[in-house]
Amino acid sequence: MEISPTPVSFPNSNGHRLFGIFHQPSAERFRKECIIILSPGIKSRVAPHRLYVKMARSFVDLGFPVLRFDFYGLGDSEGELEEKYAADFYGSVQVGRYVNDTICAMDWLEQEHKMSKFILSGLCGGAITGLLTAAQDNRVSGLHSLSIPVILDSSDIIYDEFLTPAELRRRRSSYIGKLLSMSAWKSWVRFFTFQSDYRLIFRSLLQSSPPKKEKDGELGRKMKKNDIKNPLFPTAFEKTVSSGKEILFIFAEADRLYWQFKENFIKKNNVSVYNQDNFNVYVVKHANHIFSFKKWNNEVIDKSLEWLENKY
Amino acid sequence: MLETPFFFPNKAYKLFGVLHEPLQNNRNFGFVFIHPFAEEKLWAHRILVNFARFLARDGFTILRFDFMGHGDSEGEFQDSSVETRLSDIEAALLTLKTRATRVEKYGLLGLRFGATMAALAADKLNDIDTLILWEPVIEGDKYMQQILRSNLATQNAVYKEIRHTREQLIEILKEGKTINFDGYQLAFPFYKQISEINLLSDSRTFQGRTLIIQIEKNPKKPSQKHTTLKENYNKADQCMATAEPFWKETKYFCSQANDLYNNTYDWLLNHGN
Repeated sequence: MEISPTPVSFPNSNGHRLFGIFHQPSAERFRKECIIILSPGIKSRVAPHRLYVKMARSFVDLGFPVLRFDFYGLGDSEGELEEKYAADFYGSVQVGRYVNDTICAMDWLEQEHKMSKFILSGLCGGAITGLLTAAQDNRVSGLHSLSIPVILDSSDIIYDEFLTPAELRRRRSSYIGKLLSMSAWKSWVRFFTFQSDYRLIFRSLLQSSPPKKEKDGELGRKMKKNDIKNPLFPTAFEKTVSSGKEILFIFAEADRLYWQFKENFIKKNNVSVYNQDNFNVYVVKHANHIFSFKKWNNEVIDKSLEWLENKY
Repeated sequence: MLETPFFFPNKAYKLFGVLHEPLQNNRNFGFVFIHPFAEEKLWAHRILVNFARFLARDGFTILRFDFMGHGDSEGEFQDSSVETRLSDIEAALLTLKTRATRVEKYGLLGLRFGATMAALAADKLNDIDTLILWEPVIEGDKYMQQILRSNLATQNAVYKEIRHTREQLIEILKEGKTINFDGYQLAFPFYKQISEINLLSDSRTFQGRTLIIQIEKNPKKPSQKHTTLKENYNKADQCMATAEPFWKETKYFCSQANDLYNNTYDWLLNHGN
């Protein structure tokens, strides 16, 4: 049973007032760990299709107090961001732009609500912010990460260079469909007025099916050459796992970030991390990055509740 | 400027709102901001926040709120409808009147489907002085077709095939089930209600001043639909503003829309507010 959610605000280290919603369970169910759900990025404390609202309601039913809040410059919080491109903003989040805001949220909960143990939860940008914070703050006892990125976003990166073989296949099906369909006349107009991405079209059409093994290696080499891996990720991950903190990574099977996690982190570092007692990975079959289908977000929440019950 | 987040009641549920109040030079003019539909609300959130702050610093009072089943408000999206939205707008207006006692004139400002709802609400409510429509969804049926297209695109991306065609999706809705678009569950009654909305079909009964803004990346000339909508009002103005389509994903980080803000603000000042 949940007491009515309360709007709250607290200052960050630069004096910006950050807004959030604090969910509290009834006194008889109150657990000592507080879950902080960290903003994924532009979509703030609500997250795509209100995923964070659904998560908060489920977590509080289990007895966990939950704070969802907006980082500075986002949602209802104070502050302004200067980035022109969304990719540059995401890149700044991936290198820890909001770690201090997260620490301020914990400080505020500690001072105002006498809470001292935290589980950091979040999707994408919220997940990487949680990991970078967990690696440096001992008050964090657990990490609940959805679709965590191991790469760095930037407007300088040509993303089509990094399409996975599966994504190239999908592009090819789409182009062939348009080639054969008169209803796709707008695509033809774009093609003949030099507005199409010819390089990508030819790359996807020329790719053999099934994709050759070496394509994956080639993709990996390109990534290495362009060095878009997040250099902070391996250290933060190693530090958090070795400290014994509980970690659950949930990935969406059809999400490029899952492929990048496997190829650029697990394979290239140490596969045995999967066997750590305190580190669990769960993959939602067929799901996309934001777990948009109802069965996918239900599966995310069910798995998360199971993990919370087992570990806390 | 003072910002107060709070929950306020409407019938059996609570809605989340933020009241922006000026600390000085109070113009005694209050607006209720009405957000767009589903995921468009999240993309556009910061644009509305920053315009509310801009106006509040200049003496206006603004109440932003989340519809039932949206944002931080209670309820589920699939239970919402045109009626719940009209009722929510009325509750928000009442809340603005109760909380901001110095305000004497009231306006509605809506974006996309929020503008459509603002237009419908203004026809019904007696005490609205000013109506501002930012890129309104004028024809509901076309908007619903876009929503169905979004479902087809997700099917294609996930299953590499279309498992349910557009016609089959409508049949699923008619059977009383919901369909998913961008993570939201849409039911038939709401689908039908939105499809039947056409702001051009009747003369609007709202008699106050209206501003219709067409938002485009490279505006060239006013669209015929916006012009016809303007002609459906007794006292309306129409203009164009240059901005990215900030209610959907673009490569730009959109938190301000200066041309849109300036056009709106100048129009408000020119009309004696």
